Amino acid sequence: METGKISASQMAFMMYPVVIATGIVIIPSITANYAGQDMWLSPIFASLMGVLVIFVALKLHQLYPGHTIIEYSVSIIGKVPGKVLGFIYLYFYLLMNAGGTRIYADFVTGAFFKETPLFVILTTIMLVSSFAVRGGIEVVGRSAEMIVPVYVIVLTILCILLVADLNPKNIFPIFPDGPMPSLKGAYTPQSWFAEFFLIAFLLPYVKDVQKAGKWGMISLGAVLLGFLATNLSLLFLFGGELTARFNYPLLDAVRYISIAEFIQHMESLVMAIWVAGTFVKLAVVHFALVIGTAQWLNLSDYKPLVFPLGFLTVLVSIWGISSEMESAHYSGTVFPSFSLVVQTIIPLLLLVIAIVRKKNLG
Amino acid sequence: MNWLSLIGVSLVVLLLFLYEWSKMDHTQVKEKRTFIFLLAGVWLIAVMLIFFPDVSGPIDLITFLFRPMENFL
Amino acid sequence: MAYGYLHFSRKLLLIVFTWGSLLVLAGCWDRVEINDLAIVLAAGIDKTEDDQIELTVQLAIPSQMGGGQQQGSGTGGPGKEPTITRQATGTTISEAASILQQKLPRRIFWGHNEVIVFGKELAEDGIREYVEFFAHHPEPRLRSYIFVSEEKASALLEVIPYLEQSSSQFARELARFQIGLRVTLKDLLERISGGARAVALPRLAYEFDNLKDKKGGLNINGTAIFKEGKIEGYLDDRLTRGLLWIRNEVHLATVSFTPENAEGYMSFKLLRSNTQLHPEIKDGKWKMTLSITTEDDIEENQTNLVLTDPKIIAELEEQLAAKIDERIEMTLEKIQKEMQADVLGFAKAFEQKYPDEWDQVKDRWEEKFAEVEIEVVSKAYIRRLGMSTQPQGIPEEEMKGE
Repeated sequence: METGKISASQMAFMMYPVVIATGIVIIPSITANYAGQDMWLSPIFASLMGVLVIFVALKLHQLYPGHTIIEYSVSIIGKVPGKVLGFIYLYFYLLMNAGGTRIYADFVTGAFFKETPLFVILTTIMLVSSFAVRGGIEVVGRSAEMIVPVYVIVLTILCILLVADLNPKNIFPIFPDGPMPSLKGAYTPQSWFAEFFLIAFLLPYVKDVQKAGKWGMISLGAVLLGFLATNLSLLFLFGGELTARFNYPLLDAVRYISIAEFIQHMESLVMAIWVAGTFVKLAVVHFALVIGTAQWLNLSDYKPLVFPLGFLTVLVSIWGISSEMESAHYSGTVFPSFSLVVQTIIPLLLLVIAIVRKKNLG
Repeated sequence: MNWLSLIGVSLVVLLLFLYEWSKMDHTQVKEKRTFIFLLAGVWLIAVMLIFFPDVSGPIDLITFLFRPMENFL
Repeated sequence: MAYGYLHFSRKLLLIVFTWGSLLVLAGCWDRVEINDLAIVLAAGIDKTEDDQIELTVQLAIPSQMGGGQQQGSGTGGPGKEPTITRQATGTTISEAASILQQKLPRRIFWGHNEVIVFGKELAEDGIREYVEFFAHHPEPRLRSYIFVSEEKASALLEVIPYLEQSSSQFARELARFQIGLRVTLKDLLERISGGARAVALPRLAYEFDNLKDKKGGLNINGTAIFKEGKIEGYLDDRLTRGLLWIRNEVHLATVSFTPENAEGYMSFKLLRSNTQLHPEIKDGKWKMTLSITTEDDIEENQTNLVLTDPKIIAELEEQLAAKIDERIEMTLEKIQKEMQADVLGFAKAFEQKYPDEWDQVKDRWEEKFAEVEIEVVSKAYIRRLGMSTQPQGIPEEEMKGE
C-alpha cells in the first residue's frame, strides 16, 4: 500500500495547518459570539480536547502498531461492527474535508473573487491537493515542511504589524459572568483541536514513532499559540462585541494595518497563507480518507481512489448547501457535535474495549 | 448551460479515467472495479446536482441527526 | 498494441493539460485591470428632500495623478484636476452606488476609499443605518476616516484644495494630524453600538478662495456629538481640545496664558501627554478620577520672566496644570451636564472594572453618567526652554528672577 515514511516532525508540520488553516478565519467570530471579551480563553479550554485525542490515538497505535483505525477497529470490535465503524470514519472525514473545502471557497469568493463560480475555486484547490496525495505521504509531508514555516512567519508578522493599533485593556473584565461563556465559546474550537485525531491515520507511516507524542504536543502547542495570538489581536483591536459581528474578523484586522501609509493593504498575504495552508490541510485529510477507503476495501493500492474521492469531496461540499450561511451553520454548530462523537467519544470507547480485551487475553 | 456543465463534467471524468487507467496494470482487477464504480458514482451524483441542485446531501443528513445537540447549546 | 495505446493516451493527456493550463494561467475569473476601475477616494452621504440617500463619490483620475508635476507649478486649471466627483440618489447606499455605476464607464472600486463624510442633515436624522454598508461590503476598509460635514457632504468633496491633490487627501491628513478628533470606521462601529451609546465625530468645514474654480481648503471645525446615532450638539474648537485631552488623544497642542505677576503671554508646546481614567464605586457613589500628566516645552515668552530660575519654572508648571484643568472642566461641564453624552470612554472604563455594577446601570447609563463625580488631577512638567534662557527684546533691568 503506502511504502513512504514520514518523520515525527513532518507529522507535526502536517497537523498544524489541518487545525489552524480553516480555524483561524472562521473560529474567532464564533468564539467571540459566545464568549465576548473572554474569547481568548476558549482556545485554551479547547486545546485540552487536542491533548486527549492525541493521547488516545497514541495509545491505540501502541496496542496495534502499524495499523490505522480502519484496521484495528475490526480487531477490537469484530468484523461487521468494525467495518460499520470504519465506514462512519470515512464518512466523517469525507464530510470534514468537504466542509473545509467549502469554508475555503466561501472565504475566497466572499472576500476576493466575488464573480468566480464556487465550483472553480473548489475544484482547483482539491485538484492540487489530490496531486500531492497521489504523490504519496512523503510528498504531502515535504510540502507541509516547506509551507508551514512560511505560514507561521507571515502570521506572526501580521500580528506584529497590528501592535500599534492594539488596546490591551479590551481584555477586561475577565469572567464577568463566570467561566460559562468562554466554555461555550470553546465548543466549536474543540472540534478543530479534535482533528488531531487524524494522526491515527498517519502514525503507521511515522519512522520514529517513539517521538510522535512529543511532536504531536509541539504541534498542538503551536496551534494553541496561533489561536491565542489571533484571538488576542482581534480582541485588542476590535473588542469582543465587534469581532462577533464580522464574518472574517482576521481579514478585517489585516486590512486595518497601516504603518506610515506604506505598509498597508496586506490582505494579499492573508490570501497567500490561506491558500497554502488550506492546500496542506486538504491534502492531509484527503490522504487519511483515501488510505482509509483502500484499507476498508482491502485494496492493494490507494492511488486510483485519489481523484474520484477528491471529486466526491467537491460534490459533497456543495450538495444540499446552497449558501454560505448554511455552510457556516454546519461548520459552527453541527460539525462540533459530530466531531465530539466520532473523534473523541468513539475512540475513547475503542481504547477502553481494547485495553479490557488485551487484559483478558493476557 | 446545464448541458454545457454536463459535457464539462463528463469530460473531466473521462480525463480522470484515462489518466488513472493508463497507470493501473492488468493484475489490479479489484482496484479497477472500485475505480470504475467510484468514478461512475461520482459522475452520476454530479449529473444529478447539475439538474437538481437542491437535493439534500450527506451534510443535511448530519445536520438532521445532530439537531437535538444544537438546541442543547 | 495495448502498450502503444497507453502511450498515445498519455501523450494526448499531456498535450491537453499543458494547452489547457495556458488558458487558465492567463488570468483569473475576477481579473480587473486598473484602467477598468473607478477608484473611490472619498464618499459623502447626504439626505435628499424626499428622504432618499444622495451618494457623492470622489473618483481618482489616474492619468492626472502621476507625480507632483501639477503641484507647485500651478498650471492645473479646470479640467486638469486629479479627481472628479459624481453623484447619484437611491433608497440605500448600495442602490445609489449601482445607479451611479450606470453613469460610469468603469467599475466602482471602494478599496481605496479613505474618507467618509456624513452630511449635516443626514447626521441630524441618524447615521446608524448608513454605517452598515461600509462594514458589510467587502471592499471598503475599516481604516477610513469619518467626518461630519458642516453643510452638505457633496459640497465638501467638490472643493479643489491647495497643497494636496484632492479634498479626500486633505481631510485624511487633517485627521492624521489629530488637531481635531480622529475617528476611523472601526472606532465608529465599536462605539456606536457600545455601552456608551454616544459617539463624537470631527466636524469638517470648507472655505473657498475662489468660488469659480472651487479652489479652497478644508478645516476641522470642532466636534459633533451623537447620541443614539443622532446629532445631539456641537463642541467648538476649544472644547474639542479638552475632549482630546480627556480621551488621551491629544498630540499637538499649544497652551498660552499670562503667568501670575507678569505681563504678556507665554506659550507652551505639548511634547506628550498621558491621561488615565480611574473609575471607582464607593458606597454606591460613582466617581471617575482623570489623572493627566503632560510634558511641555516653552515656545514663546513675551513676559519678563527669566526661565533658568527653578522657582519660576515650578510656579509655571503649577499654573500650566491649572490651565489644562480649567479647559477640561469646561468640556466636562458641556458634555456631562448639558449633553449627557458619554463620549469620554467612561462606560467602558466602568464596565471593565466593575462588570456587575455596570450590568445594573447599563440601561440607564445616560442618567448615571450625568451623576458621576469627576475629579481631575493634572500634573505638568516643563522640560525645555527652547533657544533663549532669558526673555528676548526687553532691557535687562526689567527682568524678574535670577
